[in-house]
Amino acid sequence: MTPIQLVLLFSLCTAFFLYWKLFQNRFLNRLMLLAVFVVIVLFVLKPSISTRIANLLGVGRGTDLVLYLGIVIMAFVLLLMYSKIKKLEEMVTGLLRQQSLKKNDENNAE
Amino acid sequence: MTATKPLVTDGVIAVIIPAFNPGIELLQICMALLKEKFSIFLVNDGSADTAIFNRLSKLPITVVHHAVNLGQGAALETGITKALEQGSRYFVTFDADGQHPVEAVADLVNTLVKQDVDIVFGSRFLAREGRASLPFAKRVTLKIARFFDGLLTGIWLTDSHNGLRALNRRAAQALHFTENRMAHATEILWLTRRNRWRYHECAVTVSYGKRAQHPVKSIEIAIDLILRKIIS
Repeated sequence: MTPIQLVLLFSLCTAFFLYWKLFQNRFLNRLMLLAVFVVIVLFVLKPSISTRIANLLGVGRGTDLVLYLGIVIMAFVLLLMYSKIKKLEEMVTGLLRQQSLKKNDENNAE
Repeated sequence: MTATKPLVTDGVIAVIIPAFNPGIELLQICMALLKEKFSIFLVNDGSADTAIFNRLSKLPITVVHHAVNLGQGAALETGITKALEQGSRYFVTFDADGQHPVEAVADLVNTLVKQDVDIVFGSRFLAREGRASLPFAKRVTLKIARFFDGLLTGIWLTDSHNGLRALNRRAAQALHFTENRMAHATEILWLTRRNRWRYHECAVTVSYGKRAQHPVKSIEIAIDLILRKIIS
């Protein structure tokens, strides 16, 4: 086992356990997490697998394939995050507006 | 610009002013607007110094305070919501920095009534004196913004980023921004299209003092809007 494999495995395991704990009572999320974890660990331990898939798709090296896919996934995750933040912002705005108007009504009532 | 008397009677015109750290000129604006018998709905959008609002609250105007700064679009919506509750019939959005002339309010509402539309957009490009009041860099930025807004929304105004607008109750009731900050100027065009509001433009003049938006800010707004378009 090469040093980079050790480093990657260690970080992956840490991330896995943190997410595992985060997804308490969420069976589907845990299942997906486990699937992703197994695939990535397989890729780290046996890089030849990813290279074989890469060649099938017309990409030279397995690492390149992982990089390309990683960028695409990241882009989607970012968009997801952005829309979540937007939704939160809308919620906070609505709440604050309600509070502001209520306070104004109360002041008028006095 | 016409100096005709408003076609409508007192108290039914609400002037909505979003204010974030306003200067002392806001006091003069409110006095001038009150003289015209408009109902004023001032929204303090989380300003750091509230001294001026304490002075303003002694006038017969409605002041609503946002606990934190939410942005101009959000403040406008709060003000319009309040004005709707109070039974106003016409809603005019007005800037707090003294750029907008008080006469514009009557012009906008007159246009709204005469043209029988749901929303009237103020335009600095319809009258010569309006155009002349614009510094060159501002004119170019506005023309680019107008083109950009036209492409995004399909509504081609001569001046899409003007804070002076008039809405009737139908438009005011349907007004809901998801863009809290400056991008609401474009969002209102989306709303116009989606809700099939009848719209018209009205010539206004705007005077520029020290507080004008930095051109870099426009780019930020554009990025906000493009991201938004991709997601929704």
